Amino acid sequence: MINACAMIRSRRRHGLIALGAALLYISPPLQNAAAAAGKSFVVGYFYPATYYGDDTCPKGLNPLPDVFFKRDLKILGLPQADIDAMFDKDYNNQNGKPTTKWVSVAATRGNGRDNVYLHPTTVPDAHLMPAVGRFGYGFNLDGKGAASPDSYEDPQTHDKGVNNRLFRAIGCIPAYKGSPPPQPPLEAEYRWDSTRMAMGAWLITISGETLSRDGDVTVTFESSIDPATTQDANAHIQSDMTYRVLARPASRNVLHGVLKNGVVTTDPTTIVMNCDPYIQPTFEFREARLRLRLTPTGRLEGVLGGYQPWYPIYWSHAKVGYIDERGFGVDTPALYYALRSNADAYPDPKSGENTAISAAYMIEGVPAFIAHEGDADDAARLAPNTAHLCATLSQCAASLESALTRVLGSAEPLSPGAPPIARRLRPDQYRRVIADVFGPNVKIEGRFEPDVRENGLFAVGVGRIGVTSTGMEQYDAMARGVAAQVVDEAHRGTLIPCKPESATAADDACAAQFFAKAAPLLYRRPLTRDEFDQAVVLAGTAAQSLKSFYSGLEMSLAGMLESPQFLFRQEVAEPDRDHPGGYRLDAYSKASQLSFFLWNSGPDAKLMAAAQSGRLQTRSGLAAEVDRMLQSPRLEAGVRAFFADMLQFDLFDTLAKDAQIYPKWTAKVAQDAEEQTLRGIVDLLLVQRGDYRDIFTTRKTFLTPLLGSVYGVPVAQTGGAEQQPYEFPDGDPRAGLHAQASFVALHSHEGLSSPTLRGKALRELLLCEPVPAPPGNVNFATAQDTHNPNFKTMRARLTAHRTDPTCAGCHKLMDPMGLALENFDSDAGYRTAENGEPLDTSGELDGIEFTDAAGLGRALHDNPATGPCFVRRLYSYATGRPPARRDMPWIRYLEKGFAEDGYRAPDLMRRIATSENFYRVSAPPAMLASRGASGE
Amino acid sequence: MMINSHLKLSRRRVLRGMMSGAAVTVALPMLDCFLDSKGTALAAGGVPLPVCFGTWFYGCGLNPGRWEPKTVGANYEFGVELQQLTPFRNKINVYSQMSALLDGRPRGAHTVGPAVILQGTTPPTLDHAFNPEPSIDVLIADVIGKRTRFRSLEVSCTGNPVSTHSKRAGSAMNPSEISPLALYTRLFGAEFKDPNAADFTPDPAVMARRSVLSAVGDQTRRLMSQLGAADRAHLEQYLTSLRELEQQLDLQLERPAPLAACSVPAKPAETPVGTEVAQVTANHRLFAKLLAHALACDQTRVFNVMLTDGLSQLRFAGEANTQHLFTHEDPIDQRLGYQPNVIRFVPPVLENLGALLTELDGIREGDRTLLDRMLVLAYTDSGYAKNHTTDNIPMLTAGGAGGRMKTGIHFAAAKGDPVTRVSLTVQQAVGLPASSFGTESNRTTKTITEVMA
Repeated sequence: MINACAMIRSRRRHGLIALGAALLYISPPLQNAAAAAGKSFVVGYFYPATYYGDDTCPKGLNPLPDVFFKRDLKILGLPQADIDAMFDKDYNNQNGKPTTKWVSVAATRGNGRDNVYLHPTTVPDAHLMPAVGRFGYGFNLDGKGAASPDSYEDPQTHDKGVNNRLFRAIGCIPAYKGSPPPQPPLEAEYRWDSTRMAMGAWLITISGETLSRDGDVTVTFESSIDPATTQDANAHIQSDMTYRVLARPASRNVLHGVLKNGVVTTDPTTIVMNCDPYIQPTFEFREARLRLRLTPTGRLEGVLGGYQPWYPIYWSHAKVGYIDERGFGVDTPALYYALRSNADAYPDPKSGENTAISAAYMIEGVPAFIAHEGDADDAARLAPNTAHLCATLSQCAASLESALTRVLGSAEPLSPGAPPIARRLRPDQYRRVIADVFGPNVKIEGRFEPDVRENGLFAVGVGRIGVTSTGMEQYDAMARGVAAQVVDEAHRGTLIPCKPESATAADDACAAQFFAKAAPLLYRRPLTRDEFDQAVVLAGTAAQSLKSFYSGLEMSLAGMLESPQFLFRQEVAEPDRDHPGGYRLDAYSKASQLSFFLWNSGPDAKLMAAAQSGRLQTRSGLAAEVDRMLQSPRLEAGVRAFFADMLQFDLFDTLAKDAQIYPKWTAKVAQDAEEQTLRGIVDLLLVQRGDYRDIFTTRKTFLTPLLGSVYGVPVAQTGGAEQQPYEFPDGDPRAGLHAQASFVALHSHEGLSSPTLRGKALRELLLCEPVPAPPGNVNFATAQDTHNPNFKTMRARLTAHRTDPTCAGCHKLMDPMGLALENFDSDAGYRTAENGEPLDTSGELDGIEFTDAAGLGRALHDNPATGPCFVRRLYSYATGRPPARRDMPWIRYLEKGFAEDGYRAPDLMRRIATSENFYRVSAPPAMLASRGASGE
Repeated sequence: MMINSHLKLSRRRVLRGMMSGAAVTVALPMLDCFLDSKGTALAAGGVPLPVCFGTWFYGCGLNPGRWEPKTVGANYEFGVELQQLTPFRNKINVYSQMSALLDGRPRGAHTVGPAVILQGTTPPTLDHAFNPEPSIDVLIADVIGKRTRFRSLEVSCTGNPVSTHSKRAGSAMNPSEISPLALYTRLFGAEFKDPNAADFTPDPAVMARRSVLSAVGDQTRRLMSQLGAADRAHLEQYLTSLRELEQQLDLQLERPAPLAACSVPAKPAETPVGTEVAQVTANHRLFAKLLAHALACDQTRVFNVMLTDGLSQLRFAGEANTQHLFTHEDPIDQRLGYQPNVIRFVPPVLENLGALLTELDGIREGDRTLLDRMLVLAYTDSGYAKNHTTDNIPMLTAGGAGGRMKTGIHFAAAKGDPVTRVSLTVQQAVGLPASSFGTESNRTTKTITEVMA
């Protein structure tokens, strides 16, 4: 026996919006497409389509349990007084729960003996009042049009002759009554919600060549192995979840349909969907059709109509028994009779009785991703949820704009990536790669030409530069220096894996062995044939002319070390197999992208092996490498490099303090200050896995005795010059990064502090809010009170910054924060007065007031820009580009995730490093355009 | 492989190597210096030595009303602030009343002035490192410095390698040397070929290095076809720099023509770098000597000296304020009419300019001096640092550009003339075929003919 889905409680939501001019919504880019265009939805609600009109139930609604129970018992023959007594005592007992005695009475009310749910005909037909009236949802299934008896007019399409006898049968049962719009039927919400929890989600995919104009489409109605159980904040089904569909799913119906004026209508066919195993294992519809409309908000709304076996509908109620009757108010035996008498199709060959009833069901869906799992064929197939990447940027912008207006669901938005860019190695990266390949004893002598910052980061600026001639001179000198050490007698034993046949002549075989081992690590990828041959040949010819194998090797190696392949991180793109039409970094570029991000160095042997084997291009392979790298102690180097860039610690190189005014400040103090901050950050973010925002409030730090001298706190010298853990007492203003020497001393003048420089640094570096430049022709004459040239405190000297409107507009972004830090002199020394006058360190930050630096720290901690700023900086640092509009959906997703992760930096790093977006390349590489061209 | 020690004939060489039976050829380009008459101009006696050019920058300007010469034209009378340059008055031109015009763009304090003077444009963003235009010293060096060991030399007297205004088109700024000792090593260390040395042996190691660099360049060019446009532009810059390095090596393989005025200076001691007046002065003095000798030995023909940054951090030991802070915070003395603490910085700044001119003028070349055959452009960032204005920026040139520029003249422009008139004039004076310079309001075609010979 086929069981059918039971009745569905009405839902407290609006029903179908009346169709006006249908608008086809331009899909967000992350939708299904088995063909060129597609959208996927998960069915959020599915319930018998009932229409509520003034004329639907002219005789009123069918009776509720208290009425029909009493009625049936009376028919049975029980005296009225007994019935009333039983009712009062047992049905409406003290606790509100009927007694089991009552339940058994109700369940056998037909003849006092048999279960009415199994034997509904033991109760006489109560003749449920049918739903009549003009309107009813559905389709003209029998083709007879308005001549069809008991047919309706569809309120959406205004088709006449709609066959929906199910509606007729149940439409005036109170629980199934359609409510006036926008009220939904109550039954649907409860029934479907319960069913939905226990079954695989139903998925509808509409696909075709294009969905932006009329034409043929395919509608796939299938089931997932994942249930649709997640509810959003409004207790509706969460959109944009991902549902897995097996190669051979439990249900799949592929229907042909036509898209016209924004509505898809499918051809009549049989539709079979599996439902929950308990209430209704299967839904079956004959001659079934779908009418689906895509709403401007992205939801799917539609109607399914067809002939459904009527007994399973009955059984889905009867199976639940008394609960259905009492809880939902459905007179179950009466329902039996109603369904049976309204059945209008598929007569049983023996009895002649109709076995099916015309029906229509409301469908509501929200967008979903579909992940095809299963056998190898499936894996190789296009993953429908990311079918077409935006072919042009403007397409991306248009569709992403609309995605931006929606609440971001749990799924990661697609970022279209950027064109490949070559980034010059930073000095510390250069050193690390050399140390990784040739060991830490090889000295690098020479001066790197300065990097440029862009968008606040060197990591972005390195993509904007080549090499100046001075820089080239220095790279040449450094390259020769390194190469000379590699071949010298102290190192050649360990670094060169072979001995030449003769030390005074070329030996191509040995040279080849050396380069085969070292060169791929230096270039961070396998060498091309041309590159490898050249290295060996140059070594040979130089060896000949210099009469020394080692000198020859040295020359060739030096050449490699000053080549762009070594000095720059090149990004090589390949077609993205997982997203046809798109591009991604090839395996080696991906390895570099990952290792420079997390470890600030080139890939190690394991990562190179993962790239070589192809594992790195799989999701699991990437995740495994990322996790390995996040566990490694080398992560610290990456985190230090990031913060040194973000906090502009390169300024330490040119930092000077007047020795007479600040005798405590020496170069060693600067070193210790930098280390204090970086060590503290590493401890907070990596060791303690703490909340990033706590960098402004943490009282724990690491001090050397020299720093203790500067801060004015005791730090014993017994630990030597090592950093020792130190905790400032509660409420001490010296807590937090903004109070540390690496911040206050760095952003000060040589001879005095600077609230403006400090405030500007906080605003720009840590809140990511740029401060406009000073206007031209600033006339300071009006800004200075010439009658009192000797301002005692900085706050007094900066009065004009606050009071003059031309100054205040920008200075109010900086000075209030900076003035709170006036306790810290230019050398970070703590003071409470300036020139004899006590300091006023109060201020406000975006509305939060504070009285000292500790309060400022709390205000920074709580500022809504703090977390997102860190995300954007890390994003820029990792990708080497400033955030662009097209990247904002992903960045906002990362910001959200960062907050959800408790602002833990390693988790954010993991999100970035495991995301496809991190490795996506937007434009086809130039090589495709000039394929075939070679040489100059 | 044979090395031709006379090195005057055809330069094309081919290195052959065998790799799995295939011949690999690495070719050296033809060096063109020997084909040009300029090369023979380096020979001694009677033939004019090449013109040289230098820029000399100091931040925060001078003080309006005090620096402008009191009279116009030849035999001008110095204003009070420039009087300490009197010994060089006949070799100095002063240009007043010219401005860097903003065209409505935001003023990057202390950066827009130098950008207009040297690059002709206001920077598109306040991040002047990415102003795409080349600086005139690079334009000039590309013409007159083609065949010297160093295209140009940049130094910073305050120890900041990022302190520089020199840049190639589309490139990052050329970084500055901060250590006189490092500059000495670079100039006169192991790779220096003394023009006056008795004998000359080309070093085979240099030969080998040369061919390696050539191969690197060739391979880089093959790599470029795979890159996007932006990356290609950066690699073009890399290749330009590589070519200059190759040229340095080529010159090491040449016997240089003797130069009577060339002598190797004493090796300087390691000096502390900093922004104190005494430190800056000491380092500047060492740099000035090295640069003068570098020019005299034809190691370069262009230099750029940054005495301070635009935001001059020059300070007197023990004082809290730097020059820049004083320019903003020192109130104008009502009686004197100027900022008394600010003017204190002018004498040490100009003393340093005087020291440079002394070094350059001290190198005798026949009956003239090195200063006579070169042109030094002394410029600054502000007309009045107190207000960040770029009106009436003090401009000076020193030297006669080998006779092409008249000296000892004060030129006062019509008020509001762009300061690029000076930039255009100096380019023409050193022989560039420039007919205009600058963009938008700073664009000019008007040479200052009053100073052209």
